[in-house]
Amino acid sequence: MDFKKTMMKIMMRMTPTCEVISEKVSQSMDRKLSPKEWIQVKIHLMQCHLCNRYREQLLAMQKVLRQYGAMVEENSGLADLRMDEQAKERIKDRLHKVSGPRNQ
Amino acid sequence: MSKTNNPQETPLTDPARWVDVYGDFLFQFAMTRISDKKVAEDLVQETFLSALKARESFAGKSSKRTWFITILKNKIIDYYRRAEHQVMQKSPMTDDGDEDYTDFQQEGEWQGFWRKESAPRDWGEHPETALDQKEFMKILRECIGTLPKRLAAAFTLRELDEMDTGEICKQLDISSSNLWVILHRARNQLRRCLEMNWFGPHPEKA
Repeated sequence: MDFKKTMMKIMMRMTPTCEVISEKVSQSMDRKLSPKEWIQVKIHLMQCHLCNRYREQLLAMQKVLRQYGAMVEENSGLADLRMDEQAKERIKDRLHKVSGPRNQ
Repeated sequence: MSKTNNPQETPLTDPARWVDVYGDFLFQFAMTRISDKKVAEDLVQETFLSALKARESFAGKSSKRTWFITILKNKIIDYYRRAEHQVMQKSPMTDDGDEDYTDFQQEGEWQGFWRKESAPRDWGEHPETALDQKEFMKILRECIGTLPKRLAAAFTLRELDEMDTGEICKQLDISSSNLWVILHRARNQLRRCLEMNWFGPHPEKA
């Protein structure tokens, strides 16, 4: 335990804190990190299993969200979510006011 | 007018049919971005009204569904812009939800390190397969729904629509460093929400 703590402390001095690293991990999904940042993140992740886990979770989330986005756009999987009939009628009425009477 | 059984072939001349054929789909699309039923309904209505006005110019090159989605996406961005404007007018920081919450120790020897109670927990193997479960979709939607508007806007454009960061900055009129902060906060909040409601060790699931 003491050894681990010492290692953590050394790491703390060598790289920015988890708070800073987690931000860079997130940003690495949106921009290219500078070489210096990249190395800092790499070294930190070698030592810190929590930041590692955080990174893996963000990547998993991204995967899930993209898939989810595609599913919604392809119109599959959200059958439980429907517009109220009342709202539909309201929109139809509105459309008819603009386009002319209903032809039903 | 010829009636057809294929919903994809709904004639452009009968806008009321649009609502029956595409209403739910567009509503779902809007709801996954803006979890407000009333707003989602309004956006669908605006979409159809714009489509009606632009009917002449619809060349039929894309499917009607794609055409509607393109219009709706623009309506959603307009909505975000209006909302952002209102938020900024009131007070720039009131719509930030629990953004002040921090996962990290704020003082002491371990300042800047994960707090014990908020450190990422074990999500089990292959968390990315969670979408196979119906219940998870609901949780995911609800968690996205808890994001403050200004986070949800950039976040859903980035992660659901896979929009380029430069394009998001242009559309929402924000700087790139601002965008990075927003996306990071949104990811943190969503991560916590999913962990609390789905992935984290849960008595019922254990």
